Amino acid sequence: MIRRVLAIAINTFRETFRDRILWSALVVALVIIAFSLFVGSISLGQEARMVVDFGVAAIYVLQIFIAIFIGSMLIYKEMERKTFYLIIPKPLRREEIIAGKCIGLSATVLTVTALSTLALFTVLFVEGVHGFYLPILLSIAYTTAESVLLILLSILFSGLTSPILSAVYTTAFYLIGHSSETLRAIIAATDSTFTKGVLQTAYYILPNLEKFNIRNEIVYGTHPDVRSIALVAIYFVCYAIFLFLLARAMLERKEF
Amino acid sequence: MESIVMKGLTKEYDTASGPVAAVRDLSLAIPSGNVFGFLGPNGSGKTTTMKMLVGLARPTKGEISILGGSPSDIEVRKQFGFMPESPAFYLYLTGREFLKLIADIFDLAEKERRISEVLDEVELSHSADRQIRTYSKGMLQRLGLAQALLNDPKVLFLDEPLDGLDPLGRSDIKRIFLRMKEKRITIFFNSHILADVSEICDLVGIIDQGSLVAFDTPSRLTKGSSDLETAFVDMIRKKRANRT
Ligand SMILES: Nc1ncnc2c1ncn2[C@@H]1O[C@H](COP(=O)(O)OP(=O)(O)OP(=O)(O)O)[C@@H](O)[C@H]1O
Ligand SMILES: [Mg+2]
Repeated sequence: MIRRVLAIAINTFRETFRDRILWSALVVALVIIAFSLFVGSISLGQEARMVVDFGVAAIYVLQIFIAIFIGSMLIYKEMERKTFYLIIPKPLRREEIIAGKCIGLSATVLTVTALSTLALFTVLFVEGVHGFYLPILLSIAYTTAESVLLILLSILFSGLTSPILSAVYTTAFYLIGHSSETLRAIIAATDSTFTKGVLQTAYYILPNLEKFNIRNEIVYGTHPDVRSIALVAIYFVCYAIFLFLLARAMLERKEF
Repeated sequence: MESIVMKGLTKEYDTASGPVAAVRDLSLAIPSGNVFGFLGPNGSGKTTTMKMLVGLARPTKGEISILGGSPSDIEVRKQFGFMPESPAFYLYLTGREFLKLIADIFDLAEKERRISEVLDEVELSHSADRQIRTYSKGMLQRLGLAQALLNDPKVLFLDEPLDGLDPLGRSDIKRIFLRMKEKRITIFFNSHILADVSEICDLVGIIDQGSLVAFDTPSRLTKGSSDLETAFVDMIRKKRANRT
């Protein structure tokens, strides 16, 4: 079982790295990070914060981009090109395919993240800005977790529809996932119990991705405590399992 | 012993004008060690039948048994090989890398040795370390066959294995067929190249518009006609005339 998942994962990882889109995205992120070098003297508090904010945001956008766009292509490409005809009839469980795809793409995100984080740290080190390393690492760990959820979402959607629609749906989920507070405000302002019920259900089913956002905190060099980290980790694991089961059900029912 | 049994197999596809049957009430049994050629005109339901046999599509009705089990059973899947119509691969892998992936999925013992063996068998060793995107149609077909043979299957499903090959390539593949036959492997293959079929098949099935028209040995099917091709055309004409 592990070996089969690994075989699929390695193949997925290798495929994404032979994709030119990935390299272009990585280069753009690295250029943005390197650009901070020319912002001038940034040892002053305000500007140091800006570089951290900027760098972390660039890495975040890169992660989300890979999760949504490359993820959406993943299953679809296999069905379109019919490479799945060679894989599906093999002695593989459908969940092994999903797990392999998700792990492979997560490994891609991790590799790209590691490279761009290294670039950011180099910039900060050269500029003599210390004291942000741990908070930055934490924030990046949070957004990596968010990317894994988005990878699972886009695998789920790409099995159901075209890659463009899948990317649109995943992006929609992503946007809604960051508007949980707004949704809660709407629920509070709604009178009709029916609408309230529907919205409340949506509120609990849809991911609350703001939980993975600690960027406002870390620019001040602080970070969440162990307890809140643990809570976010639990939330991540539960939601990932939920999405994994949905994706498995999708692939289980799928015909080719 | 029968390796492949189908009972009342039916597949309907939902279309804009309601459900359409691609395969209707198909019942067949292929004894172990036989080479079975499944013939039919374009769109008659050959690929659809094979997709159900290997678990790519679910039958609307009917039953399938392969080596006594269901096609979705992992243990059954370990014992069959499948080559789809014009197989598609991960283009940026080399042929050998692709076979390595399949060997890992099967969790084979002595992977490297088995991969080299199969590459030799389909005569692809010289191009095994080139990226698949540089392969010719014949080479793709050979790689498709190689991945189907990798797990040393008891049953082989091949969808148009001779399609797109030149006479030399066809004769190579036929030689592999005969070797498989000696090893008592059951082969189920789709084709519309009739000349090839009569040479290598023990049994032939003819399908038209989703229904089985005939099922017999090639020699008995050809009886009364000059060759299998004429017999095939006559049979389908007659059947269609009866239906309307
Ligand atoms: N996914 C699908 N949805 C709707 N109809 C389909 C689908 N797949 C196949 N069909 C229809 O089912 C019928 C049988 O198709 P199938 O591919 O099995 O034929 P075939 O005998 O393999 O033909 P060929 O010799 O051209 O490969 C055709 O009419 C085809 O249009
Ligand atoms: Mg076909």
